[in-house]
Amino acid sequence: MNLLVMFAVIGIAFFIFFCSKKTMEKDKTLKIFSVLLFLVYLFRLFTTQDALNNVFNVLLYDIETPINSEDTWLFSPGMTVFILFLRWSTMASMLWIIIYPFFKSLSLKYLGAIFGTITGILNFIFFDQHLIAFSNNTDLWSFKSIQYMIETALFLFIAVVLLCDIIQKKEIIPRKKEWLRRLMIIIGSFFAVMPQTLLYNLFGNYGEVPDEFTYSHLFVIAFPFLLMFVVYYVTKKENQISKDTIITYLAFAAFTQYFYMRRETLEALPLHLCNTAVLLLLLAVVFKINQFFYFSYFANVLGALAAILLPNYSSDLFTFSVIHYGYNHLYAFVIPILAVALHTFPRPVLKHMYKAILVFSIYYVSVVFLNAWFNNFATVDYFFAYSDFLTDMFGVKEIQFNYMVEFTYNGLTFRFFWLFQTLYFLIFILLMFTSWYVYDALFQMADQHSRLKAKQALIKLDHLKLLKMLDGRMPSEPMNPGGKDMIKISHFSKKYGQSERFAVKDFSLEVKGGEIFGFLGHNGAGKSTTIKSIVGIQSITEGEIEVCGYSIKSQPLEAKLRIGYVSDNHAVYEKLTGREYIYYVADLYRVPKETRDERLNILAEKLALSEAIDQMIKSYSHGMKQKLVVIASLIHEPPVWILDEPLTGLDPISSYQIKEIMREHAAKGNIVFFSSHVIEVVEKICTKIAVITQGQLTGIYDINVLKDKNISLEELYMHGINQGKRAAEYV
Amino acid sequence: MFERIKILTLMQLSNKSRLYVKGSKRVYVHIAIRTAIIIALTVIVSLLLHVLKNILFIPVNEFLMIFILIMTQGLNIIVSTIGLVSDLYHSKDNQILFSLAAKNDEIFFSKIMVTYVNEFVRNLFILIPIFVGFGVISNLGILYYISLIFLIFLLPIISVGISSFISMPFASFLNYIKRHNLLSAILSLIVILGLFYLTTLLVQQIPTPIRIVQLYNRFVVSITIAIQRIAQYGSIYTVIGKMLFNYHYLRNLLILVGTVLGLIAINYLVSKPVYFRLMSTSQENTVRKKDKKYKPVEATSLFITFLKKEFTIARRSLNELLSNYALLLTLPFFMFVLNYIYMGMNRSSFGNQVVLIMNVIITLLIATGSNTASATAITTEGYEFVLLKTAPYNTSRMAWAKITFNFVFTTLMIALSFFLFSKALPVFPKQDIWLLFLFVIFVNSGHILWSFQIDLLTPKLSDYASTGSIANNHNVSRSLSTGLFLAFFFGAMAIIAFIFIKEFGWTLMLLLSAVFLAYRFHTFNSYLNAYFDDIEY
Repeated sequence: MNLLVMFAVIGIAFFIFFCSKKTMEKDKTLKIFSVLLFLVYLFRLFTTQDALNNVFNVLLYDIETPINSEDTWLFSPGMTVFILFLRWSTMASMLWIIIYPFFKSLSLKYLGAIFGTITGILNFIFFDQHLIAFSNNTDLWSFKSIQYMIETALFLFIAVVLLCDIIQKKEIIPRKKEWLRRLMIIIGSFFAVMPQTLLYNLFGNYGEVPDEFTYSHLFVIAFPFLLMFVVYYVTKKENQISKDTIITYLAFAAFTQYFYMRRETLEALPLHLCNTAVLLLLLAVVFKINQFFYFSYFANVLGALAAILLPNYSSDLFTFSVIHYGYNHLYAFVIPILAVALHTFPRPVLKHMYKAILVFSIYYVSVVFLNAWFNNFATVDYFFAYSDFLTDMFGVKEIQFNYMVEFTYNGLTFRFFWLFQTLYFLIFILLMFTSWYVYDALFQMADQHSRLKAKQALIKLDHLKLLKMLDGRMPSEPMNPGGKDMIKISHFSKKYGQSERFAVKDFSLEVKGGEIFGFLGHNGAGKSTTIKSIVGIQSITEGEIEVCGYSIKSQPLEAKLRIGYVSDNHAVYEKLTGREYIYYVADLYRVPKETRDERLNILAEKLALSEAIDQMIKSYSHGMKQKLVVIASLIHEPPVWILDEPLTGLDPISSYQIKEIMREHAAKGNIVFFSSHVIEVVEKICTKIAVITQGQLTGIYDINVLKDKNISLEELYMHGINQGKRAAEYV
Repeated sequence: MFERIKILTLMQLSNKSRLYVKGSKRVYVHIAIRTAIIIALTVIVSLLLHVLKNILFIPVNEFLMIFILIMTQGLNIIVSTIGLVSDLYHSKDNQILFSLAAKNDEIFFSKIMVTYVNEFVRNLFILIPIFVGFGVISNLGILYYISLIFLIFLLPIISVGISSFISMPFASFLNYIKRHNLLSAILSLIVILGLFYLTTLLVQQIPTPIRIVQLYNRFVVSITIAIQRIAQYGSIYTVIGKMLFNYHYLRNLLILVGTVLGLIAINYLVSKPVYFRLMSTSQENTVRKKDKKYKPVEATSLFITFLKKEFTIARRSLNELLSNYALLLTLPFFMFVLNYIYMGMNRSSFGNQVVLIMNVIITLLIATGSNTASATAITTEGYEFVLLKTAPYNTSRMAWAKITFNFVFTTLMIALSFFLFSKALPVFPKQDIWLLFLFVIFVNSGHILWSFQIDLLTPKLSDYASTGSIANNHNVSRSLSTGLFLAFFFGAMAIIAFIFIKEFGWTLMLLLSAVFLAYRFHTFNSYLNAYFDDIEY
């Protein structure tokens, strides 16, 4: 009879597949059948009168009986192990088949088709053995048999339809790189739905209770973390649909693993935090219910972690109860974290946390009430909110029993430990907030890590770009050999941070050797920004800056070696003496000792700083510090000397001395580029000037030309400020 | 006058925290979180007081409250005094504030107000939980809770008032020793050694073996008497405690109000002639004679250049160095006192394991708490960082130089602590001491790298350049939190290692700490190579 049904199912599947032409219709039919299969499975799960663990527990009728008690065996050991593996394969294939139509994963389709068809056929062939495992009889017309027949028929039907599809689309032989991925899916899926009696049936007792940090307990603690990392790293490069498929599969696996054992009595109702979690997680994943998901994320993960760290069992590691406990808490711990890590659910914001607290509050109030009610009929202790398990553990039993409210209604006694239950609630909320901060810290770490990876890749890319641009030349050679004795700024733009506004926009300028180039502009015009980008203190948003042919962006060290910089502020260590400071800067520029001392003496003499050079900088005046910075910037005799407002706050003598040094430096064929507000100074010592207004270059002028045309720089500057780019027309 | 003080105060407050923006959502979230923390703390304190009263049988009465007030407010006074010396006399914003059209005493009071606001906020987390906890446990009436509302505002005035008054002679003393580096170092050393000697003397008064359980009644009676004795000398805090417990309520209330007004008046009268003079001398620098014999060491590499600079600056900033590592200096005290007590008890083998776990937690808490210098290593370069940005070589080596300096200094200090510890307590197993030393060095070095990494990613160069202060630096608090996390994480690991695994306990701990150090080293190096060039002033 069962074989007849099997052939009929296969025949119908072929018929429907080849008669239905439209793919869309096939998709819809598949979805309907998948949902139907899950409903039929659920119906059997909750209506069968036997203890459902026997569905899978085929080796021993009574799990507690020693393995070598042959009188309790249903089948020979070989047949028992075969049926056990068949049930295992059925469970894994069934979940593939149920999930596939909603995610369209080619791998799931392939595995569901192959494994589903084979296990479906084997289930029909060994139908009697399954019935014996259910209820120890082979009556084909019993309620249970018919249920199971429908389930198996539906399962085989979908598997055959999928098989036809892959045959028709010539997907029967996977591509080379698909083999490994499918093997991993098989291993992962099989582990996810492993029969909880498997290890005990195969190996008997392990010999250790995984409690109090024994080696097996340490393994149990480490395993979820290891599993999460493995799943995350294996799947992080997959597309989002594949990631969602994994999370959905795990949610279904958690559900089936939880109901591996029939939970009928009041005390076994799924109202413990992690038991509720596996139910809510399935609903959350299937129907995208954020409230349920984040409740699991903030409340259950904590509870599961506590359960893994402090388990309350005393059986051997391989026993059914320990494996059940382990799987339940493993899923309650792992699924929420993985679902966020793999972006199936978005990273929580505070709003999600509040929703989680709301759901937890409803859950907690329900549990407190149900504990008070059900304890009239049985001993229940959902979420440990009724017994003295926790108060005894922490030695505060008085708090529970000294603050209690008790009343009777309709002959039922309701007992509330108000202080303990309120404190328990508040502490858990506090723990949820703590977990929020832990998650937040972990997210930050993860973000930091991804940014680092991206940055490292960018650095590598920049280096490759540089090598390409150099076209076989050494990185120490200038990118633009033609620009050897000049500063060349091309279309330079700079934005600060996340600002939308450009501090400097599309700025282009060339400064040649021997020139003293003045850079004029109002406060906030962009002078310092431009200078800081030339010397490499600030990054460049757009464009290119070359110093002596070297790009400051891609050859910063080579470019900086050729720059001397006097900042608009004193970059000096006040706890050093002047000499120590100069030596420090000279070391930074690798200036040999002899040259360094000679240059220092000459410059200090010129700037009248010799007397103070061995005093602590802390005691220097503003002008002395400025002179020290000037000496430091010239200690390596740079071909490009850049000064940002160098004469501000200087006395006339110091100002004169610095101007003289600028002239001398330019006379040697070097570039002197400096910014200033003081038009008279610029007019007096510069050969050329550039004017910048509100981040844009408004003109470049030759001082001699201006003099010839009898144009005052002050008038020109004021005109430029008022008229913008039309200043050039003025000339 | 009051209007100007108000403007100055608000200006300084808004500069220190961006939270003071009316109607901002962030403010409400901030307030909600803080309120939740206060509620949680109140619950915890109530529970602790319940345990004290009903389980440990230590009387929870006005004496205990006075005792706790003396302790907490005493600590507040010390912290505020240190903060005020820096804010009132050495802060860089003085140059701006004194150039404004405000009187010296107005600036003084605006700074006091800023400290008061900070003190008030900090006190909310201490006083509310303690007061409410006492109210619940001692079943006190409505008058008690009404009085609390006033006290929440008045108590910070007392501690800030006392601190600002003390800060004047203290700043003057500091100005003197600042000019005498050697004297300062000698004084610090004398104080430290004196304290260590005093601690040893005090601790040795405890009769051994310590049998708390057998002599529990005697212990409770002694503690109660000690608390009562100390409470008698609590001056204004004794008055407050008695007032709250309804002893001569009106009389004590008047004394309290009088004290507050007196403190305000005395600060006003003394600060008027003294403040400006003290502030200006604190910021003066004198030119010293040149040390012609001094020849700087020639650097052979960039790393040596940076290291030399670090040592030179540290040598000339002994006070800053001491304040950076002040917590680390307390390590030998804590280790000695706690272990003397532990060793004085009759311990089971389980007790010995607990002692080890406690040592792991305490040494890590103190050692990692001293790594704030690493968490501000780049920040404190301030504007001088420009030099490194313009230098034509891989200046990220400065990071390694700074780390080497911090590592050498902390390692020496920790080694000294363990050496003193092993000498002072020969009964403690030597092997455990040196294994613990190795473990602490590994974890602490990892934490130095972690703290440095925090600063590397978010340096506050311009903040430091403009204020010259690392007060309210976010990187410091992050470094402290990571230290706290590490102490508790390795504490939890120590429980597993020493209680459950036992024979491989030390192997596990050393392995974990070495892995942690290796991971931090690798991470730090990666971040340094990737991000150092991106740091912008």
